[in-house]
Amino acid sequence: MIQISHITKHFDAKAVLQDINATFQKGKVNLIIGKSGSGKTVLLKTLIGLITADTGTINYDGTEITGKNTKNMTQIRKEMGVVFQGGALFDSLNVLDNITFPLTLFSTATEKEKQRKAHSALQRVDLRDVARLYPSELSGGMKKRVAIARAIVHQPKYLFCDEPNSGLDPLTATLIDNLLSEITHENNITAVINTHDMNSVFEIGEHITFIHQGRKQWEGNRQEILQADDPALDEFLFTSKLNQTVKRNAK
Amino acid sequence: MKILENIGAYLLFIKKVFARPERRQVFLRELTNELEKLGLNSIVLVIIISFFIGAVLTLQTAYNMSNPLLPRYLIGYLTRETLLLEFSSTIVSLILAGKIGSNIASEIGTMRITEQIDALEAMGVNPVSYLVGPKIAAALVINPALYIFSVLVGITGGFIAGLSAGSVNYDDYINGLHFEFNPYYVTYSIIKTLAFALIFTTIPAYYGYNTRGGALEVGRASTKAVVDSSIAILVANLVLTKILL
Repeated sequence: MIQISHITKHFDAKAVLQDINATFQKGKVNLIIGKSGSGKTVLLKTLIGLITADTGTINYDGTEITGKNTKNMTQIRKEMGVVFQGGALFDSLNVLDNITFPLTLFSTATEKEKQRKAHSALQRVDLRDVARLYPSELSGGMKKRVAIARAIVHQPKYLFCDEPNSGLDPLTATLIDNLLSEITHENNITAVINTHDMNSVFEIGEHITFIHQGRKQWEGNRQEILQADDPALDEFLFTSKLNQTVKRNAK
Repeated sequence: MKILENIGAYLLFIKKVFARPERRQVFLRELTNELEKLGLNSIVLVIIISFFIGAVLTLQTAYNMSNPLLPRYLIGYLTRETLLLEFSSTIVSLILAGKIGSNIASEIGTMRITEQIDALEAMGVNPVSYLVGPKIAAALVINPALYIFSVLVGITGGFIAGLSAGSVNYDDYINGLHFEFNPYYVTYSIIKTLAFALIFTTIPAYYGYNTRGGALEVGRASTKAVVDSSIAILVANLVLTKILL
């Protein structure tokens, strides 16, 4: 479980995050939703320590990481898996080397053992015969799946994904959503996913935090979101006629 | 004021480079890759440039020495001195600053804008040390080697051009090469190549690492990196020459 309290972040004079309190539960798919520019990515990067908050605390299962030095942070990072928006695969390494990279850093496993784990992670994300390919030879969906394989190969306790299905066709996006949900439940990990994809909200959102103009505007699950009476949330979620119909039917 | 800020940020960046590598195995793998990328891929360019410059130096020196009172062995001597003292260290490093510098800045800049550097940080890796350390180590090994290689190729180029044009004969050229040879000049030039290697790897890496935005900014960082590292090499050349000679 990850708890954040009173997180605030400014870039120059602009307040990007304002007094955010939230809890991301273990064994559940925790979604952070919000419009582009609402502060989702900054919040996610603050959670994983890539951006330092101006004020507030971040707590990983009882261990506070705020203000810790790099060495202590490295310890927590061994338990994290991160999937970035574009996959962020290392261009100079092939798929297999990309996936074994965290193992080379964090474990003393033999080369054979690392390769076995990497192949197993690739199987888990339903990819075969791509181990020797380079990122430039993969499609967008394949890159995302390789990034997920890299994020889970060292069996992390925390999984963070920044818009994992952006730019993908609806079928691949659903596959990625289901994959992330399955991995979260199989391994009982704390998954935090940034998204503005409504299908993800309704399909896999077990705990949803809605960020609006840098503030936490609403919190709940995918059943509650259909009953929510928040103008900003309504404007974000139910703009399309299809989604408005879904909400009317749910009510 | 902005220049001072940049110099300060650059020095802090250099400090991060010299942090302990995450894993020796990873560092050695990257070092091998960089030796190939920076060194082997530059050899052909160094051969071509050094051969032709050596040839032209010999022919120009011969052309300017029409006075019969001047001994012909001076042609070989001046070719050697020019290559040894200035061309093979400074000019070759300037050329490498263009080739390798733009490569480093665009590689690291692209990694920055595609979040690959964020991915490294998220894994607990010091990205500066991981990305730049092996490049510096490889350049420190390869640049002095390329210097020696360039001197040898340049002298050979001068020899072939001088002989085939009839500007100098075999004995005069070889005598000139041996005449008043000062081994300290090699030490002086190798010290320069080490300093230049540090410059043409760290300045482009700094610009690449601090790239923000998109492809346009990567291009700008690359251009700025080449210009600034070239200027820094020229300034360092002057300072080192004043100190060492």
